[in-house]
Amino acid sequence: MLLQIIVNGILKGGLYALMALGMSLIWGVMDIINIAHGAFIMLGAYCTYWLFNLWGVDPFISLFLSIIFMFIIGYGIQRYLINLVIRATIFITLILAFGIEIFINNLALVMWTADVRKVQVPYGASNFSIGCVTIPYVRLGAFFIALVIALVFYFVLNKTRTGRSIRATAQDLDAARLVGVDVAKTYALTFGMGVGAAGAAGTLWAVLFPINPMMGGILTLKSFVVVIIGGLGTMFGPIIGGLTLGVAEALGSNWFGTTYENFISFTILVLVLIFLPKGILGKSE
Amino acid sequence: MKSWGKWSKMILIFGLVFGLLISLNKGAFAKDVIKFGCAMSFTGKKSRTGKLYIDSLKLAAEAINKSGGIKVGNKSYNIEIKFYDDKSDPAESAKLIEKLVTEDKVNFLLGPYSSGITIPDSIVAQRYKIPMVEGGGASGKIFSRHNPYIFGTLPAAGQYFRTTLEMLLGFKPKPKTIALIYGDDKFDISVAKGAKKIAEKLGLKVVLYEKISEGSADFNTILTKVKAKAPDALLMAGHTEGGINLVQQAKELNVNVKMISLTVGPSEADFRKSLGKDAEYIFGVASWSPQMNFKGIIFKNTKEFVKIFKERYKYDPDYHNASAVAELAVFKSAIERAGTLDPQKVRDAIAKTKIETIYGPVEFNPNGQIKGSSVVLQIQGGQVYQVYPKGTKKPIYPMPKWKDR
Amino acid sequence: MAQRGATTKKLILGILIIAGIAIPFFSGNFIIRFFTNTLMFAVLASAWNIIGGYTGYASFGNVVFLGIGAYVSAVLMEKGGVPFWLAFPASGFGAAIFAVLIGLPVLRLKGHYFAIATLGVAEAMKALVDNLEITEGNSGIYLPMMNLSVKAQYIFFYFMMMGVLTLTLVVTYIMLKKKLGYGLIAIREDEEAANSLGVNATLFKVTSFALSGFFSGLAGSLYAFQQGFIKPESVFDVGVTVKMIVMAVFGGIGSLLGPLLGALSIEVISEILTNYFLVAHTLFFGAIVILAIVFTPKGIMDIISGRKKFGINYLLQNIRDHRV
Repeated sequence: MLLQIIVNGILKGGLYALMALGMSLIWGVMDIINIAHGAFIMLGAYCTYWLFNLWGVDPFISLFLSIIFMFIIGYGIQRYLINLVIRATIFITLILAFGIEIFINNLALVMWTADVRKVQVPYGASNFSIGCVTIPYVRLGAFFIALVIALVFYFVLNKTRTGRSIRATAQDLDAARLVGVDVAKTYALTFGMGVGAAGAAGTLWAVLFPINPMMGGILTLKSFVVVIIGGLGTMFGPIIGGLTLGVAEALGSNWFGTTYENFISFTILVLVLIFLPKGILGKSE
Repeated sequence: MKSWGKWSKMILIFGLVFGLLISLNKGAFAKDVIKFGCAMSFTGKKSRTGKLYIDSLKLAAEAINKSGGIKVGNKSYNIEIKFYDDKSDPAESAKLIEKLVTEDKVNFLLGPYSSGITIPDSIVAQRYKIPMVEGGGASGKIFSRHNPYIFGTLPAAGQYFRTTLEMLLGFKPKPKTIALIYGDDKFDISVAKGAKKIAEKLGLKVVLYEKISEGSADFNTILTKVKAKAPDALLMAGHTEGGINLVQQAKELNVNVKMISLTVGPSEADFRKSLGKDAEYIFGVASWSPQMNFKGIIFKNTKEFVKIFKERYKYDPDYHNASAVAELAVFKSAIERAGTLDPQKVRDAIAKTKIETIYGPVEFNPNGQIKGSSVVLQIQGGQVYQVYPKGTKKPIYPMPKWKDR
Repeated sequence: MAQRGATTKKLILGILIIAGIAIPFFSGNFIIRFFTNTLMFAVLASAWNIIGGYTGYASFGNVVFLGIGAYVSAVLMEKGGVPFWLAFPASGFGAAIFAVLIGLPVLRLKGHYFAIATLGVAEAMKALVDNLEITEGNSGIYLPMMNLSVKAQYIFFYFMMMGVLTLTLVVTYIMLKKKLGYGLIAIREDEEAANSLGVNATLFKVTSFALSGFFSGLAGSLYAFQQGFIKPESVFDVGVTVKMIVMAVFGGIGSLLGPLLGALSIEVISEILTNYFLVAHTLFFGAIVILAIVFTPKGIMDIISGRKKFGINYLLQNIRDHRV
C-alpha cells in the first residue's frame, strides 16, 4: 500500500511540476510573481473542454492548440499591458497580475457560468497494474508530458538565439539592451512561454479533474510552493519541487489524514524558505 | 487661489460619492407587493449551487403571481424578490441582509446557500426579528442556538444515510463492512457521525472512517486505503465536485467496491454529465427526487413543477431546486394563515406550518429544522431513479467491477 | 508647492474626521455596517503599510493576524466565557506575539521570498485551525451575542473600529517621528547600510511586524464579534491580504493616509459596481484595478499631494517611467 501511495504522489508531482514550470520561468526572468497563473491554467482547461465538446478534439491533440492559444494570449498581455509597468516596484506588477486574475476569472464566470464541467474521454480512467501498484494511463501521460515540456524549455533557453536573449535579459537588463536585444519582445516571448505551459497544465487538469471558473486560486498557491521548494532559476527546479511536494503530500496525508494536506505543503514551504532559501536546486550567490 | 479649485473639486467628489451611495439604496418597489430579500451566491465558490436556488425562486415567484398572489385578509398581494450577490463570502452576505432589511425594507428573508453563510445571515435576521426560511443549509449548527427566526427545509444531517443503510441490509449477499469518508464541514461531519452510529446499531462494521478537506481534489491516498481495507460499500458525505473526483479516481486506481453511495451529487445534472457512463450504479441520498409525487400549493403537483422547470431552464431539477420552492410555499401558507404581514405573527404561523408542497410534507421541529427523511437514489441508464423506499426501480447491487463494464 | 500639498492633506483629514463622526448619526444600519467594514479594511491596509510600506517587507500573509485575532476572541469568549473587553486586547497581543515568533525566522528573508513565506504561514495557519478541536475546525465557531439594540450595537462596532484605526494612524505617526521610523525607512532603502550605521535591523523589523500584527488582531476581534460566527476560510482568506495590499497601493504606499483613502475608494467603487451589476461587478472591478495600476501606480496620495499637475500628461508620464 505504501508503494502505491508513493507512486500516486510521484504522478501527482508531475502535474504539479508542469503547473509550476511557467510560473518559475516568468518569475526567474522578469521578477513577476504571476498571481494570475491559476487563471491561465483555468483558461487552458476550458480551451480543451470546448474543443472536445464542440468538435470532439482529443485532449492530447488539443494540448498543442491550447499551448499555442495561451502563448498568444500571454504574449499579448505582456506586450501591451505588463510591459507598461514592468520597471515599477514589485507591488505594481503583483497587483496588476491580481487585476488580470479577477478579470479573467469573472469573464469566464459570466461567459460559461459556474457549472462544473469535465472532459469525458473514453480512456479517461483506464489503468494498468504492475504487481500491487495500479497506474492510470492519463496520469502517467501527464507525467511524461510535464517532463517533455521541461526538456523543450531547457532546449529553447539554452540552445536557441531567443533563449540566449531571454537568459541575457534575466541576468542584466541594461547589458542585454546594449548588445541589441529587443527587451520588450523578449519579455513578451517569456511570458507567452510561461502562459503556454500553464495552458498545457490546464489541458491535463481538465482530463483528470472537474473544472470551473474559480479553480485557479489554489493552483496558483500550489505552484508557489513548488517553485520555492525547487528553487528559482533552473528549469529542473520545478520538477524536483513538484515531485517532492507530490510525494510529501501523499505520505503526509496517509499518516496524518487527508485534511492535513494543505498544512503539510505550506509548512514545507515555510521550512524550505527558512532553511534552504534558494530551494533544493537553487544556485547560491 | 488656484488651490481652492482643487479643494472644491475634492469636496465635490466626496459629496458625489456619498450621495450616490445613499441614493443607491432606496429600492424601488411597486405598491401592494410583499417584498422578499435574498442574498445568494451569484459569483464565487458557491455560485454553481447558488444558481439552482435563484432559478427556482424566480420560477416559484412567477407562479405565485400568476395564480393571484398571496392573500392577506381579503386583499391579494403580488410578491417580489430582491436579490443581491454575496460573492460566496459570509461577511458580504451578512452585510447584504442588513441592507435588505434596513434599506430595501423587505418584509421577509429567504436564506442563502451553504451552512457557513446561513449562520451569519440568521444572526442578522434574529437581530431584526424578521423570519428567514432557508433551503440551503442543513447543518445542525444553524439550529443549535434555538434562534427563533430561522427555519430550514433540509432535513437533519445525522439521519441522512439511515435509509441507505437500511436498504443495505436487504441486499444479497448481505454486506458486512462499510467505509465512511466525509468532508470536514459541519454538515458532512454530522452526516458521518450519525451514519456511523446507525451502521453499528444495524450490525455493519465500519472499517474505515476518515475525514477529507472540503476543497480537496485528490482522493488517491484515501482510495488506496479503501482498496487495502476492501469494504463492501463505500459511503461518502461530501460535495458534488468531491463526488465526481471520488468516482473518477476510484476507476483510475481500479478500486472495486460493491456499492458507492454519495450524499450530494448523484441527484444533480452536472454530476451525470461530468462522469458520463462512470456515473452508472452510483447511489445518492436526497430529501427529494423528481419521481416523487406530492400535491403542491404553488404548483399543482411535483410532476407539473418538474415539467415547467425543465421547459424553462433545460436541466433536471434536484432537491436544491425543490427545497427553494418549499421556502416560498411555507411563506405563502404562513402569511395567509396569519392574515397579516407582521413579522412576529408570520413567524409564529411558520412555526405551526403543516402543509403539503411539491417538495413533500413540511412541518418544523421546535428548533426550526424540517421534520423529514431522505430517499435513496441510484443512477441507472443515465437517469436518476428513486430506488428505496418503494422506488420506481429496484436497486442494482453489487455494481460491476470497472474492468467488466 | 509642498505647502499646498500639506494644506490639502489637512483638509482631507478634516473632512474625513467630521464625516467619520457624523455618519452613524445620520444613516441607517446598513450604511453604518458598510463603513465599519471599510474602516476594518483601512486598519488592515494601514497596518500592512507599517511592514510593507515603511519597512519595505512585502508581507503576503497579513490576513493571518486578522484570523488569529478573530479566533482568539472567539475561543476566549465562547469556550472560556471571557468578557469582550478582555478578549479584545488579548486578540491584539496574541497576534503581536505570533508576529514576533514568526517574524524572527521569516524576516531574515528578503523580497519575494519573504512575501511567499508569509503567504505560506497564513495558509498553514488556516489549515491548522481547520483541524483543531478547540476552534471547532472547518465548521466554524459561534460568538456570544450582544445584549443591546441593533442600532446601539452597530454604533458601538463603528466607533470601536474607528478607535482602532485612529490608534493605528497615531502610533504610526509617532513612530515616524522617532528613531524607530527612521530606522525602518533606512532598512527599506538599504538594509546593510542601516545595519552598519548601528540600526538593530532585526529588532526594528520584528517590532514593525508586531505592530502590524497587533492592529490587525484588534480588527479581527471586532470583526468576529460583530459577525457572530466565523469560519477559517473567511478569516484566513488570501483574498483579504491581496485586497489590503491593493488598497495600500491604490491610496499610496508609504504614506500615512494613503491606505485609508485606498480602502475608502476601493470599497465605495466595489459597492457601487455590486449595486448595478449582479454578476459582472467583479469583472469591472478587475478592469478598474488594471487601469489604475497602469496609469496611476503611485496612488491617490501622489495625485492629491499636488506635486505634479494632474492630467493626461500625468497618466502618460507614469507609463513612460515604467515601461520597457
